[in-house]
Amino acid sequence: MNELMDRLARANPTPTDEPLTADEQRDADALLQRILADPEPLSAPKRSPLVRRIVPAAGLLALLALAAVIVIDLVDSEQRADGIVERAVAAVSHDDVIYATAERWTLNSVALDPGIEMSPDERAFVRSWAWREGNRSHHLRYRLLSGGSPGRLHSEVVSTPERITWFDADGKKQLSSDKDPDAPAAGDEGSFPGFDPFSDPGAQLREHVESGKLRVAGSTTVRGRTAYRLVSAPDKIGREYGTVTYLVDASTYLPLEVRQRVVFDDSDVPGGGRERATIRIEYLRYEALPVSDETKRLLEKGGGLRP
Amino acid sequence: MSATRRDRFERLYRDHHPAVRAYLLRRAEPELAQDALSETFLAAWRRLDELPEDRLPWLLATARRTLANERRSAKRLGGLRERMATRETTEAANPAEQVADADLMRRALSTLSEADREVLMLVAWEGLDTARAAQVAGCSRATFAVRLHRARKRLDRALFALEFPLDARTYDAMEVR
Repeated sequence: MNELMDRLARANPTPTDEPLTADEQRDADALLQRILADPEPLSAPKRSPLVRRIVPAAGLLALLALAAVIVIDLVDSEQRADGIVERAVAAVSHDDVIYATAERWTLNSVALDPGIEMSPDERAFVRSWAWREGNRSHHLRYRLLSGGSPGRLHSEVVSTPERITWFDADGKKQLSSDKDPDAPAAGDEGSFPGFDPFSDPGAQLREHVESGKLRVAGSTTVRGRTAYRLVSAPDKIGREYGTVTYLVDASTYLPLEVRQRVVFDDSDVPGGGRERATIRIEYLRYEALPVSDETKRLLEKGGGLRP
Repeated sequence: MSATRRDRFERLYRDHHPAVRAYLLRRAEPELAQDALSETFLAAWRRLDELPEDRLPWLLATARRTLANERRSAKRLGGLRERMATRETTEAANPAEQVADADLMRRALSTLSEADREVLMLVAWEGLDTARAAQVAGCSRATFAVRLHRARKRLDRALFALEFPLDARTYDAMEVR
């Protein structure tokens, strides 16, 4: 079952394995005795010739239905990541280490107003590296192939607290811009509760729970790990209106998955419109690397590891 | 009446009474559920020799039909919807947040059609796989898989609507994944 069905299962108001009370057990025993006192069990009805002809045809139909449901199951199933998913998650927050997250990133975006064109789906595999000393992060984004494996390099982003720069697949600089000093940073007042990649994400998410920005809304299983659902209340921030949900490791609070559902509305400006987006990021691995000349090179453009 | 037949029925009753009772209580008021429970096992007793090897789907399908036959009053159904949306959870020992999430899920479920609720509950609450749930619902496995897929989407949308209130026009344009 997926997460939605797991949540529904936990909402079961009458669990089957709940023991009966003494009164209920007495009723059950009495019912059994009443039924056993019924003297007239019916004999099995004989099949009519028509039924005998229908049964083989029904068998053929069942085979066709089975073939159809196999197709449906394939369409319905979510993509599974490759072996990297199975790797253990380890908490990393020490000062003198580089820690890395490998992410699978999905954006589904739908224009709510006619006349606006946009790409409805984008999937990518992102490798992110962050180094506390230099306050510098490095992201490599790969196109995700249908089987879940990362394919050709799509783009690279190098980010510092002051500046962010995009490079295309050939290493050519596409855009460089100063960050808006007035824009709220992740986790600040006036932003959706998030985390700064330059310090322990788990500790930051715990703080959001303690401050009430996120509430624990049950537990689930993510790739075999027990996880808590942390959800924010719907909020409107600037032109965005939405919620964010984190699935975090139950022991470390490190995010295993983030989903943000947002409606973006700039219909009040010429050429603007409304867009609904679901952004889903799966954090597949956390890794600690000691600081060395070799690992520092990971933070330079083009120095990231290719999957 | 042979002792063997009686023993077979007693075993069937002990094995499946909790599941059938819970199935009915999740769908009907206690009084109606008790009536349907009695009818269902009486039918099983009378047709014991004809039951398929996998008996639970047959029992649940019979319970479902019995309930449909007996539940003629819209008032009763309305009361069930209200109860489903506001019912106190039995997970009293759980953290308050889990209880809140369970309440939210039940409220979302109560906004769906009876057909959508049935397919979702057969899988999530009765714990049936699609093949067995299809037997209970009286349709093919392929049809059930499609119904389940659509019902899940509608539940997700209903949940989103409760968590994230927006204007009606926006909902109309949404197809939540």
